[in-house]
Amino acid sequence: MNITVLNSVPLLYLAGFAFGALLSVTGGILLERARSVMLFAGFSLHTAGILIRWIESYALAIGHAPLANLYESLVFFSWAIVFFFLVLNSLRKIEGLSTLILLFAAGLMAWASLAPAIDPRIQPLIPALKSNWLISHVTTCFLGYASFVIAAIFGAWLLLPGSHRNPGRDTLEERIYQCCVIGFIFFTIGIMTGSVWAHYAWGRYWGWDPKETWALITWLIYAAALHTRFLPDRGGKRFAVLTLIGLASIMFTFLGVNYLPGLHSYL
Amino acid sequence: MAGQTTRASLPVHWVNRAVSVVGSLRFFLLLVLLLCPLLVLSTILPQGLHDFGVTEHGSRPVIRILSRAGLLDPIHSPWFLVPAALLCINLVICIGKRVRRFTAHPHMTPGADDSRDRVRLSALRSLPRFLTHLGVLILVSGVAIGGMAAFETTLELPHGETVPVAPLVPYRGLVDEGLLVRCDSFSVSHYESGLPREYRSDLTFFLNQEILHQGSVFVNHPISINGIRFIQAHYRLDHHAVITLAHDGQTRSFSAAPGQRLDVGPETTATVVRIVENVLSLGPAVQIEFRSPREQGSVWVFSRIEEILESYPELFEELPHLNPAMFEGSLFSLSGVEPHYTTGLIVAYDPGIPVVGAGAIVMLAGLFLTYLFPVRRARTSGAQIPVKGGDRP
Repeated sequence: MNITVLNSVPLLYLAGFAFGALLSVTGGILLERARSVMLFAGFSLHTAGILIRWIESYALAIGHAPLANLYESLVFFSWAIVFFFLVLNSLRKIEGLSTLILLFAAGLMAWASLAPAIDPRIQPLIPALKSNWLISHVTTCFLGYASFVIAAIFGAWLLLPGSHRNPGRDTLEERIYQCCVIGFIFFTIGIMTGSVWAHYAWGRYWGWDPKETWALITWLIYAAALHTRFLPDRGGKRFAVLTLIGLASIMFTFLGVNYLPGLHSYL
Repeated sequence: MAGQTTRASLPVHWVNRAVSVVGSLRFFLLLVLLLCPLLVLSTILPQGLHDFGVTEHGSRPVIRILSRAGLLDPIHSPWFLVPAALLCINLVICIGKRVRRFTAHPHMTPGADDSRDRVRLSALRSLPRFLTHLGVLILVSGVAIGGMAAFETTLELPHGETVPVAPLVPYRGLVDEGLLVRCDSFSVSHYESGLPREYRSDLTFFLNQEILHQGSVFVNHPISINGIRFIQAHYRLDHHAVITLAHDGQTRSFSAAPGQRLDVGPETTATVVRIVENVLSLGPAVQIEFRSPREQGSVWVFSRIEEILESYPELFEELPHLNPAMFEGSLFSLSGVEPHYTTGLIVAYDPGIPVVGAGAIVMLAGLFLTYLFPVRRARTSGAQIPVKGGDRP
């Protein structure tokens, strides 16, 4: 049931993206509304799918939060991006970003649903993952990632020619900064909760495992990005470039390290 | 006199200049720029090859070059440690600047009250970043304490056995010499798929032959004794064979593991070579290597030998090494094979953990305040500039 629900989510997000793409060419209130409807419908179904999966895991007597394997983490990452965007949009009105957000979220969901190497079935937890720290560690990390993804989208926008006119360089820089600070707080909490968990599970809070090292690299990149705001030119384009480098680092922290030997591999 | 003053102030000038450079924001960014590629290398290049002797003489030139450059263990090499130390100095200078700014008292001149308030307000606004940096510094101090005094080792403790803890601890006086740990029982439960669901060890700690503590250790739930943590890491399942040996008129029973030598007599040895739960659907069997002054060889002893003989009455004629009485004066019999667990525990001690925890809390408090009190900007001549007193956030 949960897989059927979750498989329909990328279709809604893709439809929303299509409406958004058309909107950017033709304009029109109808297309804008259609994009919003697809976004909300997709997000509602996405949330429902995650909850159904959680409940179904208990029905299978292996109950756990759906955050334990690559499929579940991709689904949650995609959900976190849309969730973070909706929260930010309600505060700062960044509707223009929704088309790109829909594309990003649809891409992640489509990969989770279609990649033959990704097993969508609910699997039992190995003893090391049976901990309350699983929820706090994974959710905070992915909320941090989501925030950084949106910062990177703003960063890419800032680097585009003409960004100084609409919505304005200062506004974009401010949005990037806000997303980076929020992401940095969540990501720091994610690293901390992971360290506490590792302290109980493996006997040490830090072990230079590839995932841990890449998390530190990502943390340093965003620390540097936030510090560039205090340079005389307030970071300028360097700030935007660092958010894009940070996004690449996040992607490697999340997916690339699976191909390196370590304790955090999803594969 | 004037010349003396110039000479005396010259080192001070250079020290101030060095402090200014090392404590600057650009220097911080440069250090991050140096550290990130090194950390990337540490995850891509194979680490720990020294432990396997791969970097010794005769290994491939590339490996030797990487090893000499310290890149096969970059985290413990000067390439990492020097920039990390400079980063700490950068933080200390930055914190020092903020403290100085907060405690500064502008001269009492007309309008000094306003000036003092402005300085104080500016310093107060930088409090979140001060806390964040202080937190990082405290955290790094905790890591340094751990680096100097922490240890971690593994303990393989067979079910039912008792071992002293002191030999595991590299520091004298940390634990009492009379501290012992015993694995009372070990249990493992499985999912239907056969995957382990949970495993736990019931441990008893004795101090000078009196029970100090009893408890269960399972994954994610360690036990701490005198600050030393016992963490459930893994387990091993062996099989023990319950063997009876009638030799020279004496009958003895043994519960033996592979490799274990049975006490037979002064010049005769019997060693368990292999234990198999089920050989060719004929049930459990054990292979024993026998040596005496008269004869030597190996024999397979089956627990269900009588049933086997009913089906194959000429078994011993055709396969004499299956005859439990093949050695003169000795008769082996196998009562059964029983599972025997050995629990794998991590024994760890790190006095830096409370400091790391305190640093993490201070850093997080600083980060939250940074979000709640963002950098205020003053508009001057149409351009926005951050309100700050120095060149470091």
